[in-house]
Amino acid sequence: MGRLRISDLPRLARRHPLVFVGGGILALLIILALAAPLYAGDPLTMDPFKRLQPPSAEMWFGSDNLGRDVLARTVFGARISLIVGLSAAAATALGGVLIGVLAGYNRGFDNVAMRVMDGLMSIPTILLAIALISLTGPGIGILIIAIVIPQLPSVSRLVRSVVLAVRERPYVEAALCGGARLPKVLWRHIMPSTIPPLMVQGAIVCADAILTEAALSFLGVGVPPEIPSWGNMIASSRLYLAIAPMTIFAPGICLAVTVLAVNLLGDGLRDLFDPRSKRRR
Amino acid sequence: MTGPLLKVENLTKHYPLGSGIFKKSIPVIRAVEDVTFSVEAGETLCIVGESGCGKSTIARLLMRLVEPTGGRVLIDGTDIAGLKKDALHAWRRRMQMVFQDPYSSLNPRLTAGQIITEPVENFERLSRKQRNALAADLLQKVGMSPEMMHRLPSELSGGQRQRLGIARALALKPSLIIADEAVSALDVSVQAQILNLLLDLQQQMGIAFVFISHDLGVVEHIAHRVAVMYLGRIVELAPSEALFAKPVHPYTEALIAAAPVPDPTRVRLEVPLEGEMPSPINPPKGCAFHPRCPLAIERCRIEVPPLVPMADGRVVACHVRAPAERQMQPTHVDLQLGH
Repeated sequence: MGRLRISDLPRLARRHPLVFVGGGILALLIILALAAPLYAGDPLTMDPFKRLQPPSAEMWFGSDNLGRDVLARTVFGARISLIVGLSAAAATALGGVLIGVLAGYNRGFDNVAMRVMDGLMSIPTILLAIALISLTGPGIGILIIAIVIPQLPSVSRLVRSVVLAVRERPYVEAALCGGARLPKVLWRHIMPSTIPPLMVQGAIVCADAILTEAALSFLGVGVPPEIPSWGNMIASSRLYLAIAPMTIFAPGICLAVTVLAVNLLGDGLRDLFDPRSKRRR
Repeated sequence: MTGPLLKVENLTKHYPLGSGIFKKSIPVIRAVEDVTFSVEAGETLCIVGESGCGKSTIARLLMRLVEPTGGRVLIDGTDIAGLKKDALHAWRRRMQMVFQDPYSSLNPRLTAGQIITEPVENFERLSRKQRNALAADLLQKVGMSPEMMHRLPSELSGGQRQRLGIARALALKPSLIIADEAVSALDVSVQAQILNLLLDLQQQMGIAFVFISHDLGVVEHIAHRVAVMYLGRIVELAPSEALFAKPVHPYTEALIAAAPVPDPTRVRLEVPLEGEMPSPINPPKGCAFHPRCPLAIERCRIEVPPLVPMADGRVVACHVRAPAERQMQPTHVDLQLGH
């Protein structure tokens, strides 16, 4: 792959439009979410006299049933979605690499870990999240854990299968003959091969996590209700759909666009890392 | 010289087929059976045989990429099979390997320079400057230009890649290089270049080679001594000239007769070898070669022939041509010719 330079961007856009579009939307969302305090109002200030207002110059997306600025809530809500999505993807990738590499190199651990993974696969995400949150109370941390656990089996199996295939390659044996010790062989010769499939899988996990967070917040077991999230915005606005459609369209459309962007990025990365397309670079 | 550089005694490798938690006895593949040979410093020993006869397993056993089922591998008198991790790590400097496939034996993500200096970096820390100097030096040794060190393997030709494989093996200045079919994946013209490179390196640096091949033309060109393997066992081990001039074991004879000769006018002896090599899971009783051997007698079906030393310094395992009780000149019973 090599280093990415600004001058490469037009070529990337032409060769891999999916990566370009998906990555671009995602980057824009991240910038908007980070810069939210600079242009949006306070998402928590209530104003009983300005409830369910239509869009205006003061509040671009109007206000919700408690008179809060929908635009502000939507962009602050993006922070929750992105934090949950990205950290769930990162945590799943990290855990998956750890379990997958160990399982690929140690038969004993493999037998135990893969049976545990079989067990984890049978747990429904929503049910696990509800159980965990009823134990600890709502919070982003516990939400991420609840999303990561059911995703671990697929990612660690993916990594394990790559490790099992790569460890038999002659260049790995050549490294051993050259006196390389196991940690170095794993790090230098085996782990790099797991990165392309991990990035593709990571994008899928990220999109899934964003949707799961929204679903759980919609059900009222996600983030605490005072924190704006797309899921709980949609939940609290669904009664006023006919009066103030922006209250539900703003978070709804943002959710759809974000998940679409992440999925596009994932598909694009899969094409990018496909060895058949690599030759033409 | 005190003793041989490499001494292999009764080396045996059986691969179990499947795990035997529920079964009492598991069938095994007898890949290498009771193999004994030695290599002197600066010498080239070739191991030849059909595919599946255990040649590559021997290479992997010598490098300790797989653990032997039995027997010993001695380097300068030290048994490497008994070495613990750290001792094995230190010992790896003595012996290096060149792999068969120049494509899959190089990590596609590393540059040529990184690939060939990695073995040294496993033992000592190198500055960027030292690393570049080492890479340039190694590349020059194998006849490549130092600028190549920044290339990826995918940007090099097959011959260049194999040169890289050799440079990697040379990096630790080993006294023995094991070459497992090191030229069989290359074009004939490139094969000759690589073989000559190996011969030059042997002369300059006094490296001993264990050269594994199925190509008798290549073997005749480079070998000092040749070991012929059949179904995991050595059937004949002889100085190269003697072996090609007068093969004693019927299998060696058939192998040499079957090799293509680049001379259309030369009449080839047709010694038809019938059938396939038997399965190493269930090898024939007695001499493993007897079902295909035109000379087989009753004794061959019952008793495994031992390796019997001959007057000209070779050892042969054959009841007919080298009977164990009379150690003497080979009794040369002629094979039945095809017509």
